Amino acid sequence: MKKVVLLLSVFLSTFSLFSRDFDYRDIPVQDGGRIKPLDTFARNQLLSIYGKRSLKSEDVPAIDWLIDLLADPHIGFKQKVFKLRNPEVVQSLGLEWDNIHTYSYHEILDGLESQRELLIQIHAKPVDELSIIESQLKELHANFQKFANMWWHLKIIPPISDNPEDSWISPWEVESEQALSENQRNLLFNFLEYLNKKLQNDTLGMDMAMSNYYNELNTNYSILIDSHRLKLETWYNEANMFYISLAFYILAFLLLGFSWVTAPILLKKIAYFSLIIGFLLHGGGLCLRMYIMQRPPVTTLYESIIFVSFIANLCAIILEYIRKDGLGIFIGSISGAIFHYIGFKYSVDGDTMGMLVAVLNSNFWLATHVTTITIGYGTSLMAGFMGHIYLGMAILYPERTSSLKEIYNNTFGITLMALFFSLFGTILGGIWADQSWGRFWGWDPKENGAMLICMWHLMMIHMRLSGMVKGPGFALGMVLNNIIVALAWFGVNLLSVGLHSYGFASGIAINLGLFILFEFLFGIGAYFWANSKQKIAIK
Amino acid sequence: MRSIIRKLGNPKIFVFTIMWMMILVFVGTIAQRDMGLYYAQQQYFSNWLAWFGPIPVPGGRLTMLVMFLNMISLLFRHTLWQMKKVGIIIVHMGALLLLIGGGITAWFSFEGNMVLDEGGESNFIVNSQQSELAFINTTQPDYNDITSLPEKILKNRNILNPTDLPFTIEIIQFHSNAEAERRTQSKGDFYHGLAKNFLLLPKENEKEAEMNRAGILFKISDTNTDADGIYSLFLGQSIPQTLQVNDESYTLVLRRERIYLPFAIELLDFKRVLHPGTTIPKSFSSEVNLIENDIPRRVMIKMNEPLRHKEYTFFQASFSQSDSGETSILAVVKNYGRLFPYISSLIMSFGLLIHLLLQLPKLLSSKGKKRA
Repeated sequence: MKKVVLLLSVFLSTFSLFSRDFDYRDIPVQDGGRIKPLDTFARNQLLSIYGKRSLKSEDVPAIDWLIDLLADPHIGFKQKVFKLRNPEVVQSLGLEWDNIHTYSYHEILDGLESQRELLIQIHAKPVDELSIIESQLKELHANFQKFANMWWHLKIIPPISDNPEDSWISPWEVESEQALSENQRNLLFNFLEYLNKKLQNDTLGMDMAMSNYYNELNTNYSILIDSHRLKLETWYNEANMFYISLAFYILAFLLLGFSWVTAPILLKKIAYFSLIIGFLLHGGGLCLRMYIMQRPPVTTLYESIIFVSFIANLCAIILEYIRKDGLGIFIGSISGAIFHYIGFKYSVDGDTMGMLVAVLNSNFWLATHVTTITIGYGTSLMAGFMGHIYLGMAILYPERTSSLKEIYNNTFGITLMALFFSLFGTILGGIWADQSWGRFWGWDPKENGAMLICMWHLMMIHMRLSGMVKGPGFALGMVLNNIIVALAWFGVNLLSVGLHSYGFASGIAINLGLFILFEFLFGIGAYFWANSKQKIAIK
Repeated sequence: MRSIIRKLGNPKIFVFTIMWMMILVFVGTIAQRDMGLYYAQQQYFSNWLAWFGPIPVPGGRLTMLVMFLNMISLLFRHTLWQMKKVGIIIVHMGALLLLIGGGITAWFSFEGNMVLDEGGESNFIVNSQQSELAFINTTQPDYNDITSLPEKILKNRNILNPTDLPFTIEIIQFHSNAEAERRTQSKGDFYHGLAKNFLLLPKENEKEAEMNRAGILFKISDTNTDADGIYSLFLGQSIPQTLQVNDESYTLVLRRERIYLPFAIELLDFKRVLHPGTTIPKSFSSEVNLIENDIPRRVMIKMNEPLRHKEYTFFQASFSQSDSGETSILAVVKNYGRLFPYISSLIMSFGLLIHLLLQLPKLLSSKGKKRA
């Protein structure tokens, strides 16, 4: 218990470290329907153009890249920030395919100019008829426009009213100085002053402008803008808690591995500790997101990945606490690492804190149904991992019947838990559907996916009950259960994406297919192998 | 009898039925991609028999009925009634209730739409999947008598003789989705209106049932006037077909089936709010007057906040915008079984929780082997 308190206090103190002053990174912008710090805006702009959230070649953070671009477009336009991954696109623009394949504004401009007719043709075509190269050209064109018109996209001037539903405007949209209120003018001028001083490299002047800007914001816009939340988001961007959490998971795994070789209890304890730290960082990141967006933990596919992984690790930590034999650390560290990795893949799609469409815009149902069903996914996968462990153990150590029996019981217990959350979550989803569409059940793919998971659990539990399966069979069932979960979770999205599943979505399809194939082959293969081993062991 | 019940309550039967149900759900879900949600649901889930190609297999309804019988018989097993299985008993009771509710919904519920223009008023629901053939008697200036024939009885070669109509109707062709093709040569006087110059050709159903355009060809006889003859109608036809029999005049329409309500709804204002600076919708809402006995009551219908009145529930479902103004589309549901899922889910979750609390400490501890 003391350890937990210690850990928590260390953890909380990291939060208090961050009572810093407002700076240029926290300047509020309205983008994608919400107010976010300039830092997030810059990261997402750079992400869509360059593919990363910072300029790797010069080690410049996105925010500084953006500020430079705004302060002095001449220099900004010379920077090679357009990343082209497809040599065919590069060729069609008449550019040189080199090792870094990044290009500057002017290079892209000339290239696009030469392809003007093709572009007109592409824009006239319906989206689902575009070939890969055409859609990439279209995307490049859109990115280029955005880059060239950055001032227009920078909705940095808050409305006169305090209404959060009102649109902000960008400096380009200002018709004349008189059209702005005094407060708006002061805010904008201090921002421009900041850029000006930045150009002159006048640090003192920059600080002055920024503190004037902040005073203006604080006195006149405190209802509309929560500067504390802006600072927190900037901090969240910078802290990369999920990366650090990943590092701790990997560390836990390595330590556990060493502890098997050298077998000291100490290393295992440190591994457990490392897993817990990773888990706390993981949870901290989730909490921060909830606070920044003021909504429940799971609202998008990306967040569901992070949250499923969080739940799976919670189970793993509890399991380790009960069993104390390293099994929990093993499962937790591996699943945590894999999910973080998948999460990073998803986060390159853009702002991970997007706004929600009308039907989802209900904190009550997001908090109840979505959270429960996602916990259901997490616990189901956990039961699936246990199935892997059982089969692996049965192959390696078929003679250890008592510890196999234990794992079997653990797996069954987790399956019961998974059934509870999946079933409850599915029914809550039905009730939500009843509330918003007037029908409890509509046989819609997402609903059916959730129901398949519940039915699979019910089937396995009744198979065990009626003696149709024993340990290996049940473990096989739970391994296959992972396939069902993956299909319900990701596969359903592909079904509706359908036609325009190019680029990233087709990547999902392939990965999903590989995962299913692997689980299927592993499950069946390991099952028969384990069975034959068992027979030998009995003889 | 007792042995039959014992056999029926075997959990193995449950395993096989649920396996079959999973296959059905899986195939039915994939099929939605090609045939659309509505038809896939009709074919696989809301059916006693489903067809896998030419082979008849148990459909969703039959499978769930077996599941229901299986669970009922389980409750007659003496071995179940033990204190340590109390959680299991509760869960199964809840599941039974859920299936009963599903049955009630499947038989007695009704879904439709109400389409309202801003400033407009309506007192009927439209069933967007079914059509009806309506004969509107327009003789009296201040009211209309409507006789409507639902799609169910619009079968080919059906001869219909509604009591309030002075003629006989014989259905020659009815297609739930059809197209018109111009005849090479126009027909004689026995053919009226559209039927004179156009042929009715069947078309495959659209993926979304609402997109279907039904068509009908029928014969009217026994009027003893020129009005006898063959008529043709299409859903959403712009020129109305009229009919004069003696002193009575009728307008004939093939339209979406209507269900009239004992009250009316008037749309005052439809609002769509976007997240600022984007095209992502943040909320939809319709401000309406619920008019009953000529007394209006102001109500706000929003996403996730429906209006419930009598047995009907009105949901904000969709909208359209045109030059003439905004139109709000409300989904209307009448369902007697809607409370079942609420109750049964509470019961099931409660039962599962009890079972978990009884079992988990044993299952998760590493000493489980000693007790198991």
